[in-house]
Amino acid sequence: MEIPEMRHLLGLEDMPADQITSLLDLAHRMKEIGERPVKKVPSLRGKTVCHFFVEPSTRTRTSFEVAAKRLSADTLSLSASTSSLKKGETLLDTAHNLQAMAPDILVIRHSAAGAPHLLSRHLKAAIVNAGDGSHEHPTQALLDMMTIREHLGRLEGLNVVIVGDIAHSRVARSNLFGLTTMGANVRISGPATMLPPGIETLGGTVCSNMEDAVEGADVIMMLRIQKERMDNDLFPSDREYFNLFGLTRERLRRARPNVLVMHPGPINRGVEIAPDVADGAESVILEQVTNGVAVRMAVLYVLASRNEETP
Amino acid sequence: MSRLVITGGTVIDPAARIREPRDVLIEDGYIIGLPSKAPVDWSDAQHIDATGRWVLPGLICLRTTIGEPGEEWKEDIRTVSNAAASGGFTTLCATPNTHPINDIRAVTEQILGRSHVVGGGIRILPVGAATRGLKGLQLTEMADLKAAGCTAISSGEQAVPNAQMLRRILEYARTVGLPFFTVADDHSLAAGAVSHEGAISVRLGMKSSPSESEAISIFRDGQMSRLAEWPVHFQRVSTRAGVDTLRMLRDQNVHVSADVTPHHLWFTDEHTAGFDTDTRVSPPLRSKDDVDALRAAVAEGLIAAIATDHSPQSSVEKALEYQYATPGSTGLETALNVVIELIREKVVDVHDGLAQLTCGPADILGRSDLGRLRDGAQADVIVVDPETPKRVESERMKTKSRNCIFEGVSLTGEVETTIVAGMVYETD
Repeated sequence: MEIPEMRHLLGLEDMPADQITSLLDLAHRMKEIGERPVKKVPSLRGKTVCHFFVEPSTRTRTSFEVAAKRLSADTLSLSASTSSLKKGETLLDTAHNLQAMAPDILVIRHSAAGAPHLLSRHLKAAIVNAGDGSHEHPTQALLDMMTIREHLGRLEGLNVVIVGDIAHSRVARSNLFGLTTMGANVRISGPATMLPPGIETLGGTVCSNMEDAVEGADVIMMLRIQKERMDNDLFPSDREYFNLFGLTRERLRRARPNVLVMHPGPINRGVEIAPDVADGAESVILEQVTNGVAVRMAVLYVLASRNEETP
Repeated sequence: MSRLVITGGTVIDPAARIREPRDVLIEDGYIIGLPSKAPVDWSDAQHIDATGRWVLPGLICLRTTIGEPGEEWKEDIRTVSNAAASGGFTTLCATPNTHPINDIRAVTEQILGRSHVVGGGIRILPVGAATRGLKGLQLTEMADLKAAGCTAISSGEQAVPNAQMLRRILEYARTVGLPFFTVADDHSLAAGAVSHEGAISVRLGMKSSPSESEAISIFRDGQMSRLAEWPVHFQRVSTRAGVDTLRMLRDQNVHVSADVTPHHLWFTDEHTAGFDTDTRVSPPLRSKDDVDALRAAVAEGLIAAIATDHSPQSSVEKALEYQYATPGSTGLETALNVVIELIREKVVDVHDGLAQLTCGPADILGRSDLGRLRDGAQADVIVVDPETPKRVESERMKTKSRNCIFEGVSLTGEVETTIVAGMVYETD
């Protein structure tokens, strides 16, 4: 099997289709490891993976840690509250300190767009972007694409709808880049406060109306309404948001019969998604979590093998 | 009596639209003649051979951050003077964003005193703060600032927060007789923005400011200018919407003027896509359409000055996440090269292009003795090789900082000699 060439994973914007495909193929094989009684292979034995989370995260960090451990890598974890960034050290200085412990791979989440790119220019370790501001979250989009492919057998030609705060969503950006590269038709929907001018240049078709957006959809991705980020008024109330853009059973009927309902989590029940839809037969939300581990195993595996060949 | 003669060059004086072979006679700091051939009795004067070169008025920058007092790790008066001379600038308007802020006589006097000691003759014209601490709340002692040597007053890095305060500033500036400089941005739209709202900010998910932010601010300030009967000079205009608003105000005979930076005439927001913090400037780099509009406004003369917005920053301010990096680029040592490129690309003719760095800014300052080559003018003269290719390397610059947005760009032209008040500047 062809192992894609990759020095870092910073985003999906420039990743070609064949590379995405081979990563997804590899993730599919990695998934099987998680189904064994002994969920561990020695592939990354002796490798060190550093998880550097400058912005709080539970599920992405846990997912990366499980992935690294299943591949037998040694892991260390540094989060914003325990790191020295609070003591006034710059990101680069902290990163250089981490580099001095010679990790092979550094997984970073940061609230500033471009932070992983900054590290990639200064460090020897392979850098994995685990979310940079509102910019990209490539492993999330890869796991979403993996989940879609598993259920529907392909990505090309599918109607994928992404609903929510596209403007501030790294999940939306990475999915838009990846899905359009793979030939899916992406529609985006939400109030205009969340779809600024020019958002269509990301490759999606804008539907201001939720009913139109879900018409004939193969996949509906609901984005989390990030209440903690709503410092300016993007919508008047949870109630009105749900009335206009919430995914309800009734709206779901407009989609294709075998539609998939997805959500990057954590979900706000009754805000962006009705509880019965979140728990319904169409929902693959928990499979996304399972596939997240597989995709991250694939990414770590590829980066570690590339690293090996670097003199 | 000190005498200096420059022979064999092509004298270009944009103010008089002269471009012909002339010699330049300088005596005791003033130009005393531009004969086609220097008289024989000048053979004992100090002599500069300018054969094949341009002889231009010394350049004037309306917006330079000099770093001193308070941020000497970025720049000081000696290094900024060296950078100025190296780039052909003989006059710098020093922004009030020193530490402490130049909002009292003592700071103005310190800047002027230090520039007399270490500035090598470069004319540093302090621009005072219009409000105390540049906070937009309380007027400064503008008469005292003027008496101490301030050339103008300014709102600093941001627009005045509200129309009433602006009105009071303009009315008081009229009383005192000081030009008012400002920048245009509507705080409610532009606060926290690190990029231009457009295709790139959408792609990168960056907090951005729309062009309308600038237009709203220019419109408001124009209205207050009319009400208060005092001109407003807008610095670093960056958008087509801003240019259109300026044109509308000018057509209504409102007394507004504007400058633009070389980098806003050169780069688009595409340049920021790699998260290189040297591309982080304020206002942010805009779209191709904006660059086209700015270039047209320069050619038309609606924008009358190109100001460098020289803003030296060290790695402490720049080796950071893009949104946390301090905005700004150095500019004194590349501005003339950019203008030469604009002339070569026929965006502007040679006079209109060079006027932007000479008589254009001099007129905004109300200084008819600067930015011109004519009898009786200050002998601020530069000799320029307009043909030599130049690849920008910040490591070789005289400024103390290395944050040059033009790093690696191939431009044209080399300043060979800088003369201020009749004296040849010797850089370190």
